[in-house]
Amino acid sequence: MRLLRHKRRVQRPLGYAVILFTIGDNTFAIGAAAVNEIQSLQELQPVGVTPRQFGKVRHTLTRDGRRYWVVDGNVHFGVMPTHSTRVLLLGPSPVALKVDGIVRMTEIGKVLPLPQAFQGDERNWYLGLALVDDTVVPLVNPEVFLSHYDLTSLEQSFPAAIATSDAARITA
Amino acid sequence: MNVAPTSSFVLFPLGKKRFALPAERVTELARMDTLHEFPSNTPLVNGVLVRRGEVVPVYDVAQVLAGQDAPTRKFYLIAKRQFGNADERTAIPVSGDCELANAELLPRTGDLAPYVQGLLSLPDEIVEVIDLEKLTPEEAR
Repeated sequence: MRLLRHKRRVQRPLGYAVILFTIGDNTFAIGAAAVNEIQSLQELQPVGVTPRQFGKVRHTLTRDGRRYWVVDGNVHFGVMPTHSTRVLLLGPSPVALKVDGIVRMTEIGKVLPLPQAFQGDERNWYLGLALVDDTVVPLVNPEVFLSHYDLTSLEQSFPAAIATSDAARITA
Repeated sequence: MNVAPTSSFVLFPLGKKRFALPAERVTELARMDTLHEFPSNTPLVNGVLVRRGEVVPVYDVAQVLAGQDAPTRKFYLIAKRQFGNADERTAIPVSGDCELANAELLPRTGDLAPYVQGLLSLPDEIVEVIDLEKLTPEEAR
């Protein structure tokens, strides 16, 4: 008779893959599943003057025929202007986030709730807090950069700017 | 002979003055620790500490109680703030040693700020007892 031995499974913390990025002195985490692509700023197209409520949207970026509205991370989070070098293309909405740089991809084990003492916009900005290398990093909510209403309004305000960079690439 | 009921309070300094919190609201006195900051726009909340795996928000009331010239803070007084039915621990930076005192809570007088819950009459000073729930940045001195 053969004894069946159950392999002892190694218990690992449930990992949640995130991308760490910086804006100014601040490090943020965003779920890796929410990021479709990371790009440099070369293909950004200025949108001109946006209505006041969309002051954080100053550029678009066209990728595979799809226009992304680029949110300036400094304006969104109220951080003084810094030197941006990367754009995170998010999904499923056509929203991108301009940031200073990418730190790395990592896994976080646990997301701690934002304390109730925080009562401002940060309650929408963050899904919670994570500990990464003994540092508290806010986990960004990727769905609040622009609402569905914002996107519809932007599309209506700027209908002409269609896929210009893709068109230029095809022509070239 | 009637003796006035006394309660326990934690006295904490902020600059030249001392203030008090009801002792039952205070859980700990801690050394200055790494302040983790991230963008937020809640007035007076500067960031968080990590205490034994717990995230504790830092509520810097010195701007309200001691004004813009608030001295360097040396310790954190960790106290409970109420949000709905739940308590949450909050770190309050203070500028020196704290002291436990038993005293009668005297009723507040009309001219005091709304966050003053009452007064303690101690041998050399009158100390304001602070109601953290009523402390707002609009009350800044």
